[in-house]
Amino acid sequence: MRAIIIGAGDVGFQLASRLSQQGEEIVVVDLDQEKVDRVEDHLDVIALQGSGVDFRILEKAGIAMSDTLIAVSDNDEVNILACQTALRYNIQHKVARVGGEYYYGDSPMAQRGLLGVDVLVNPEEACAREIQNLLNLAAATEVVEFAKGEVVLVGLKIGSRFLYRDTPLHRIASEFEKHNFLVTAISRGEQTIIPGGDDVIREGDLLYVIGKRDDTGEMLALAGFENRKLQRVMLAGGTPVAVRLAGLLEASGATPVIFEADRNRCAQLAEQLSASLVLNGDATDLDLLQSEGVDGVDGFVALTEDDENNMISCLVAKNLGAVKAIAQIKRLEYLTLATRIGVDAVVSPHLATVNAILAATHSERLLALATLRGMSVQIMEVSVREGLPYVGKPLKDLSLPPGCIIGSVVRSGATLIPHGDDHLEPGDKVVVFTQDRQAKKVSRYFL
Amino acid sequence: MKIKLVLYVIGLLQVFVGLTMLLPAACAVYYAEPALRALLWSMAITVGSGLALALFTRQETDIRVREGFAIVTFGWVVTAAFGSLPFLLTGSITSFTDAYFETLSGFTTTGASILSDVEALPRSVLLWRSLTHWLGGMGIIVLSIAILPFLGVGGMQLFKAEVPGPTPDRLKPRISQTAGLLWAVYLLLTVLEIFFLTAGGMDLFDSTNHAFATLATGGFSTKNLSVGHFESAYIQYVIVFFMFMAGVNFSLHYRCLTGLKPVVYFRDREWVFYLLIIFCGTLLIFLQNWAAGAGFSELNFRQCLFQVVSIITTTGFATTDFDAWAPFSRIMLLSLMFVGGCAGSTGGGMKVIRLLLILKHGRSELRKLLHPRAVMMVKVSRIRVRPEVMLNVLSFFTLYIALFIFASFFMTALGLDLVSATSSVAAALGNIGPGLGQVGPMLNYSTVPVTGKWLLSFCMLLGRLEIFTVIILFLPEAWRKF
Repeated sequence: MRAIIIGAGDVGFQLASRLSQQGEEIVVVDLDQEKVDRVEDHLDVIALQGSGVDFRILEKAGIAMSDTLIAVSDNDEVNILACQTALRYNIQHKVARVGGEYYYGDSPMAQRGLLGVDVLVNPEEACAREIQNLLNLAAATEVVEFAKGEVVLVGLKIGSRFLYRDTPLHRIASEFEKHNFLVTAISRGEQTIIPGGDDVIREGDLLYVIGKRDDTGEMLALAGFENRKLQRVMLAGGTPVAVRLAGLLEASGATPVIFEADRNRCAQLAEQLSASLVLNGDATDLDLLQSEGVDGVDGFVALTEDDENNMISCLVAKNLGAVKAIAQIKRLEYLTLATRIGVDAVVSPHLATVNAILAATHSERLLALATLRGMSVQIMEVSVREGLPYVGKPLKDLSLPPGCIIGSVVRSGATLIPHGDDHLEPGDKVVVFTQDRQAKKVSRYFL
Repeated sequence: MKIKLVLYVIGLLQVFVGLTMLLPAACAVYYAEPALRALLWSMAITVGSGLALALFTRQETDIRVREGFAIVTFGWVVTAAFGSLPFLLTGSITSFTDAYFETLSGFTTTGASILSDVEALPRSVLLWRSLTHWLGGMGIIVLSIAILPFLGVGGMQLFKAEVPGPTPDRLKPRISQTAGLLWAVYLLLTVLEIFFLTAGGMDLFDSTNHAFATLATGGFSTKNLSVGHFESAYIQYVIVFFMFMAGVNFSLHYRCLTGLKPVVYFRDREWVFYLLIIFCGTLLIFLQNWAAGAGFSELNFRQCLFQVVSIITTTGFATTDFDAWAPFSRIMLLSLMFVGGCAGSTGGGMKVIRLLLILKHGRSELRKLLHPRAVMMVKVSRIRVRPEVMLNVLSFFTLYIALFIFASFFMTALGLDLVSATSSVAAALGNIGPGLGQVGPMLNYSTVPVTGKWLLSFCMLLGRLEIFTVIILFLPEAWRKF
């Protein structure tokens, strides 16, 4: 693949880094010379300074020889225009990050051809859904969906109530298999590992378990947690994500409370969200939080544009009694830090964008791609083809690349968590976990 | 500083370089030379040590900027040490100082020799001598980047540390591709030269050796009289042409080849300036020599052109004893040693682009005296030169001159006369090879005291790696644990 990436911010940089590590040829374009320098210094790519809608820069970047254009600048319109400019060349995949909700749904612009974009990535929508999942599974730190929601991967922080602490995995295996769960990864401190039979689960670990959506209650029980659905939710910051989330919460019967510092924005929110309570104030205002009953609140979600603000308001809310505090973090460097200082769960629109784009730029047989916060584990959802060497053989006999686990298999609508004796059939949708470093090998094996 | 990582890559480099000794070994087989045993032993020791080192220090971490500098610098130092084995083990050179000097002179493409009788050496050893040039010209590191895939990302740091010039071009997105393309062009030109030289009557052995030395802008010849041994005008002009080409930015060659547009050269301001310097230099020296008694002849013209191109590209071949020329001509040549080839070529020296930038900067500063409120931008080939680049060029220039001066002090303290001292340092720092006086083109470096040889070796390394790469390792900061 030879791709041009417009925008060298967090998302662009991450994408360039991941794609070039996978061996692709990448050229990055950004208006800001400093960002360009940063890319050139750290990544095995070419970086050019200029505007993504300037055809001269695109030509200099070699658009005539490229097959993919990924527009992820901060500006929706620049991203769309860049894709349209690319129409004149041989670009096969045009991916754009477009956040504005007026480009989706009933919008006349939502017809693909009109925008010139092949794949639209909307990080705000992905975030809102992820937060909703986190609220629905109170004890989870991360929830990732696969197979259109049938299969979920849940991150659980292991506390003192976990029954199988300090026991090697192969001893717990039978217990887990009975319930059709599979431990796919363990995150300890800065490291994330794909566990083998001898690995042990310790208190403080972040355990990633995959299972069917319907079985999540049992999953949590096994881990020593109660399953609660969080009803009373407070949102800090009247951002587009907040609006989407409030909408989803209203639809499920909850009554969200939204804090927004700007009065005019409050008026807009009040108009859009009829069942929510809109409060004009800052979510770091302790008095305001207490008077509105933050001590009894189930979920506190900090969604302002400011990462630090979000982290602090979450900590404040937790201190005052909130059950679960979720923060939106843009800076990828803060992701692991946030959970270590006390925020229960973290959602990253940038990471959601990166994952969606990586998935979109792979072959069609790669249905989804996700990365865990530790970022050294990739999760791929692939569709099994006929005729591949691993079809029909029992799983325990497959010579899978090291550091790779098959998490779940969806066959004709039914989900199964595979055991060693199971085998794969064409048409199956399989979720595979792998270390980042092995990703290319694994994807070649399965695709 | 991740020392283990540095040692690991250096170990791999030795394996690699050791394997290249197969070529001279094959030559020894062909000519049935007794040197074969020594060559095989050299190869065994080099590859063996490299393997052992790599196995003990195997690492998978990333190469950062500082490891890049350490790997390139020490890589070259260690490679030159193992590379002297063929000389030592065959008995061609008996002193380690001399063997190291000769080998490092080879790898850095300097071409300064301590041998008084080159023709006495076995052919396989001579081939190794020229091979060290050829490998060092485009760069052993660059070759490794093209070949060893996992050096991909870290390869960028290594590339920047070894490839000369203020801002190396990236021909393709991935560094391994860029490295591969540069070597491909290099190889092509080498093969072409071998072809044209053999067509002119030179035997294959000599043409191969001279082609290696020309494209690398090294200067080791298989003959005691250097290229002067071959009196054919054709041969001399062929070598002039290829020396000229070797002194040009290889990215330009690539662009010309892929687009088949020779106009690419003329659009590059550095190339035009390079041409201009050669033209003026040749003209001035020709006139001076003519005034001093040499005839207004093709021979004289050829000699001037040859010498000017040889010195400016820092090759160091000689067709005549230019040390016998008039002082004006000699000082012209000495000055040309400082100019050097174009950035992105195999030439040494300060590089034409730096000279060009300094002149443009100077002009811009002068104009600002007339217009204090003016905002001026220095542009080269229609691309704006950023202030950081300008500053870097100015510091390089200062450092280069400072090193030249201090090293010259040192050499005079060791007993050399002024002309020999200064020219030997200039020739080492600029990777030219022959100097003036005691180390003139018809003489050699054998008369230089041992300490002097080590100092000059250090200068050769500094010059080839463009100073900063080496000097940075003298900062204690660079070595801190992490």
